[in-house]
Amino acid sequence: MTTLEVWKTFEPDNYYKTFLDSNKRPDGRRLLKFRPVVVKVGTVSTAEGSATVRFGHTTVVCGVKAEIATPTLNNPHQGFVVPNVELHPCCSPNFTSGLPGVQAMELSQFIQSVLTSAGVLDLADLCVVPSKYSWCLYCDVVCINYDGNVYDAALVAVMAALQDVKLPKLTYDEENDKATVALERTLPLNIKSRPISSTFTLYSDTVQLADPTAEDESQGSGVTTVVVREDGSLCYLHKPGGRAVPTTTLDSLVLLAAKRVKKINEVIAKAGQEVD
Amino acid sequence: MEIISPEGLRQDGRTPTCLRIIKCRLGLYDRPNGSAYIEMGNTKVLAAVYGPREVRSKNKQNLDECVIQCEMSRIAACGGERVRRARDKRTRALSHQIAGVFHAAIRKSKYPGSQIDIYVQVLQEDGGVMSACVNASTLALIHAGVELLDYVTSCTASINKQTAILDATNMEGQAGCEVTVSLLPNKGSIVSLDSSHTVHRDQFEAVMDLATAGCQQVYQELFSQVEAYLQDKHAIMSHR
Repeated sequence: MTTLEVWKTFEPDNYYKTFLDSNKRPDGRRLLKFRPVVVKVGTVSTAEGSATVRFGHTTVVCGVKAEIATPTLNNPHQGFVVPNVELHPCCSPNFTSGLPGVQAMELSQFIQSVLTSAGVLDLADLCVVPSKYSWCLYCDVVCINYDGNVYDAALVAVMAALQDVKLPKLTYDEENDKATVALERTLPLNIKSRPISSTFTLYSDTVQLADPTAEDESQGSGVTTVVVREDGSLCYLHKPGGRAVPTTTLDSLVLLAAKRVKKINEVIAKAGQEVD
Repeated sequence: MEIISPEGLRQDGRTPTCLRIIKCRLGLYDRPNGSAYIEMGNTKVLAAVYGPREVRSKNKQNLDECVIQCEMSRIAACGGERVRRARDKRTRALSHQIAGVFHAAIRKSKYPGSQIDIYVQVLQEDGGVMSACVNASTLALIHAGVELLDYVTSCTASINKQTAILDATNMEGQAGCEVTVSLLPNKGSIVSLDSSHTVHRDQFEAVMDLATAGCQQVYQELFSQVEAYLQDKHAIMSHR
């Protein structure tokens, strides 16, 4: 063990604070700098659409599976989008096996809220035959390696996978009341907006850390997630308690998030083109 | 549809005794003690090993040897139909079996009172999932530096109209039986054997022989990969 590791083991708080005092983090980043993002599309060929996303060491895989379902009585003209996030003990020793933990459920809920509030898909597009057949898109996200900020990584993975989705054509024969699904997957989804989230850990009143690693998350005392659409409009803000944030700081965080949207969307678009 | 064409080739252009292309990598992540990724054709599996570490539940602790736990999970989009529950009965049974395989391979008495956890994640399945899981776990255990008696390699074989075929894909496996063999290649002893559907007694030997031969081929493949990894690592170390 080097002296640095010894120090980290015995005084983790002090060790961390010394880095922050010189405006750096233990991984060498500045406080408001994001990690490099790598997106690869079409990684799971058994899925209708899929993507693998890396934020530094954090790796998540999203696979979209499409199934035919019956629309509900209340909304006979709508299909379904069901996001689901899984955090296995494989990716970090903090998670236990068995039923999904609070964090995984919170993440699923977060993605669901973003997808609806940003209006990513028009659910009416997913309906093929009103009150009979509609598509149900299951967006399953699995974390493969956990190193903080799964919020952003999961959303980017879901967005990239949705843009990769190609559905088979469903034809309906009204006379015989029979539906047939084509073998080839040809129809892409009509994506209305492309929201991107940016997460910040709140360390103190003046210090915020962009794109936190697992270490940053454990040292910080609260998170704020800002979701901005590609046209610059703020569509979702998530701050589950923790340290209070002055409104001026919040404004600057939203500005930072807005700057990032275009860049990440370009990365996703580029990944999509590489496959084609 | 014909599994084997009149020319004697399979759908993907392999001969009956040919393995699919194996791609593997050791040491993907820092957090687990060992990790590995393997691709056998279209079957893709990731394995992570934690341990030897303290036993989580004290009543399981054994002061003579270590506890080995394996947990396998499949991502929802890995197969033809969406998997509703990541840990259904079948995956649980498989993970129990994988743990059993490594009971035979790990020098358990070297790690008294501790626990070794193997987590296997199936990203995509196309036949031979159990084999890919065993092979990935072996690599991850090697990367973690856990003492093993020998490598454990695994391979499947099937039969189609009197011809034994090696490393069957999902489609080929559905048409006939699927025999999965896990082997300690240097000792030549079989650790686990699993067959689905019926095989005729006269054909069983041919299928078994082919699967065993396949395990040896897998071993060559894994061994060269581990060697390359170690050389790479050693090169870095010697520069320091």
